[in-house]
Amino acid sequence: MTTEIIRLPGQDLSSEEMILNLGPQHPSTHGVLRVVLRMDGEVITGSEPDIGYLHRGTEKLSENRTYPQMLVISDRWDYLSAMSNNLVWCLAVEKLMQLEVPQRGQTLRIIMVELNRIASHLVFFGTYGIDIGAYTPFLYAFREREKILDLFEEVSGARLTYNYIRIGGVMADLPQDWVGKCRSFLEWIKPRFVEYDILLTENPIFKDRTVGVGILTKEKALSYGVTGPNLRGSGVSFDMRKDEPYSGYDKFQFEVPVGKNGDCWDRYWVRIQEMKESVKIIEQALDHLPEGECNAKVPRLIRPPKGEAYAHLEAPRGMLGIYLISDGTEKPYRVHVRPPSFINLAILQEILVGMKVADVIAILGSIDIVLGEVDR
Amino acid sequence: MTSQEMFSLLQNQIPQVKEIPYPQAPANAPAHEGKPYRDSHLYISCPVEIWKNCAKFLKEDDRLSFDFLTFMTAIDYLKVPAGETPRMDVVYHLFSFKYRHKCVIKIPVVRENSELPSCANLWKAADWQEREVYDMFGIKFEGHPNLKRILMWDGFPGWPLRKDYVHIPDRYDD
Repeated sequence: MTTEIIRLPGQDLSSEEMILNLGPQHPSTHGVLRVVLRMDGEVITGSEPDIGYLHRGTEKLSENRTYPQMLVISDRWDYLSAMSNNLVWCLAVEKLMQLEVPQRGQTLRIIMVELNRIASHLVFFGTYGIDIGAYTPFLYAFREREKILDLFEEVSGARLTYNYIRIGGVMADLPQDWVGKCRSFLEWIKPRFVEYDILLTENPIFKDRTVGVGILTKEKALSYGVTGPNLRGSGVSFDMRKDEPYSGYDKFQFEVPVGKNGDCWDRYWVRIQEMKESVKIIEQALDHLPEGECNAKVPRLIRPPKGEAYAHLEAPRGMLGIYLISDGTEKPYRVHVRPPSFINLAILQEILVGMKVADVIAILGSIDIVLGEVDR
Repeated sequence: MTSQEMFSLLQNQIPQVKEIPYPQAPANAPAHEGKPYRDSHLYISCPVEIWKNCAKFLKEDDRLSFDFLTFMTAIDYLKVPAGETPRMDVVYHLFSFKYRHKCVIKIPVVRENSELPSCANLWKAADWQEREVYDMFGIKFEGHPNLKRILMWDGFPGWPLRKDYVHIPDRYDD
């Protein structure tokens, strides 16, 4: 039997532009993201992210809900770090109402947000490994994350949408023995970071795939408004916790890890270091947990005065902000969310150009987006 | 640099800009409503005709050097006090990495067929965010490289975040 090569007329070896559709149902797009890639052979000549598949109209919904009701919706933006979303909403409303949260409430908030940051970065660590082709780190990361979720379940009753941080403070004080459990978790996780470095960080195959890939320069990052670990990976030391401390972060000692080259590995490395810093912050917070009330006196009907406020904080993915305009009624007049994932994702249209198609997933994974936040 | 110095610097260059005063409670407001609140940085109102020059000056002047667009959005003021025309405000929040100062610029535009020069060439961050504002409010940005809907699909009827938007029931409402 011989193989016959069929030549179609006009279909000879001339190269032409090819369109490749990535997603929206591709597992490595971390949700429902579609990227239209234009390619010349293996090299990408243009990319256009197509978003909006998960759009739920949060900003419109908020105009028909009271201030505490919006807290429930805030859980659903960046569902991997719902505590940060709760906190930024509360900070914005408290700014408008000119409320002061008691010390214990503030420290509890910091503990929860930092634990959530570890959990969120663990998901990044696990899924980024899968994106690159290493399945094992995922199992380790989710084992650790499970323990954090157990801690959250004890304080809030929920494992994903906590709704724990409330306007004026937190939902409830810590249950009995929680501090001990949290401490033993921190002691347990510290040696795990060494395992991660052996598994992935210093793994030569992993480094081959990530070092020097998807370089984001400092100037480009600033122009695109990129924040969070992506910006710090590019060598800019900018962290809201240090630069504009909120909730009493100025009382804590921690470092801001900064990368050098702005490639995928630097962005990855910054996140791994941030987990270690978060452990330090939680330890300090547990050591100096103030006694007393954890909630401020909040009126039953929350009706902030007229005005506008912009509150922002360092979420695991960057600067998360709420721009809130009140007309003096019990519902907000206008709410705008500054979603870090949405703004970070815009660099994709530039950073992918000139890269090989095999690197697309490595770059996309290193930006670490959550589509719930991109589309809101 | 204080807000006042920033404003006088800007006003020397572009005389049409105005400072938006801190909101005051009306004289007969009941006490339980509380004092109005606004963040402490500079708020500027800029007419739409000179926004292009103003943005360029804010970004490129060495003493201001607003190199980071924190975010931009719009607000629909459909119901306004008697004597004013309904308008939409396009809001730009700017930040300077060099001097660590902030500034908020509001550009009032008319509600129908409004057009505004795009800032996507100054701050790339404006690219997607202006598309979002176009998508949600129907404000067009002149000179934008790729002005089309971003979150809603092409052909979606209406502008969802306008205050007079009416939802047309579809198959998902059942």
